[in-house]
Amino acid sequence: MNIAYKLIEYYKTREVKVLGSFSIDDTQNIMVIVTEILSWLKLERKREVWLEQGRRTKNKPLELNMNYPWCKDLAKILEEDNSLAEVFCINDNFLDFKSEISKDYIHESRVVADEKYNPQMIIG
Amino acid sequence: MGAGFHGGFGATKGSSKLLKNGYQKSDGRDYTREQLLNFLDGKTAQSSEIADKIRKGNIKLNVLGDELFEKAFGVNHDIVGIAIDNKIYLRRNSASLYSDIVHEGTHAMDFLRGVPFESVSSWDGEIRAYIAEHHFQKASGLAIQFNSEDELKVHVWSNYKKGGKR
Repeated sequence: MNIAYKLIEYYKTREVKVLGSFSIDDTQNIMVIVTEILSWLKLERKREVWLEQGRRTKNKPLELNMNYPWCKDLAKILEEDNSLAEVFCINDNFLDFKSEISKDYIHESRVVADEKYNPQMIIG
Repeated sequence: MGAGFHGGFGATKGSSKLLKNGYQKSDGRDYTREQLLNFLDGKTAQSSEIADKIRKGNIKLNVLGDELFEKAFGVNHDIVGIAIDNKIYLRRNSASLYSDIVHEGTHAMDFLRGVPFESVSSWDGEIRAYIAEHHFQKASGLAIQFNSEDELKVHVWSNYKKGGKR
């Protein structure tokens, strides 16, 4: 199953087992990690569409700030054995797909996030 | 006082401009992000926690000019704040910017704590946000929008749908 489906499932249920086992137990940080990755994948899909339309842009990794606890937790999670660590890695404070992950898989991740991750606005 | 929602103080007069590292409010003063957060520190437990969560990157604070705010969200001038998951969007020149952070920050805190969206966006969620804002206004010596929590609840019941959205 594509990682984007698992992220969506966690977003809906907040059950960590969907993503595998973590040594991190800060549920708020895990939720921030999941929403940040989903937001990034969704934006990456938009960039794919813009590229298809000939606009000047490019796909980019997710920049992390290692002063933030959730970014440190993400780094720890990626050192462990779980679904996120299977497909993502951090290089120079940027999160991206591992080099061995296929383009088709990455594209599917972006499409799924774009279609399934639609957070609602709270106005006021 | 205007009818701004989340019940801020309505449209503000005067112009504002984007500064490289901060914001200029309608009173002409310049504010950096850290100055905004410092003002929240120690006023109430909720405002302190919101400032802490923003500093840690768990809540993302976005302060926008009026034109961009209204264009991005398709809202009119009555709306002064929006929350989407752990991200909050506010008007740069709002006269109630500090309170706005507490109000929208409360919605973001609800999200982080796992409160279901149906509750966050309902009367209950709005009342929680207005009460947090009300306590913050009292503790910090800012203009108080409502004279009592009952008055505050009437405002929510009158202006928001019970199950969410206006």
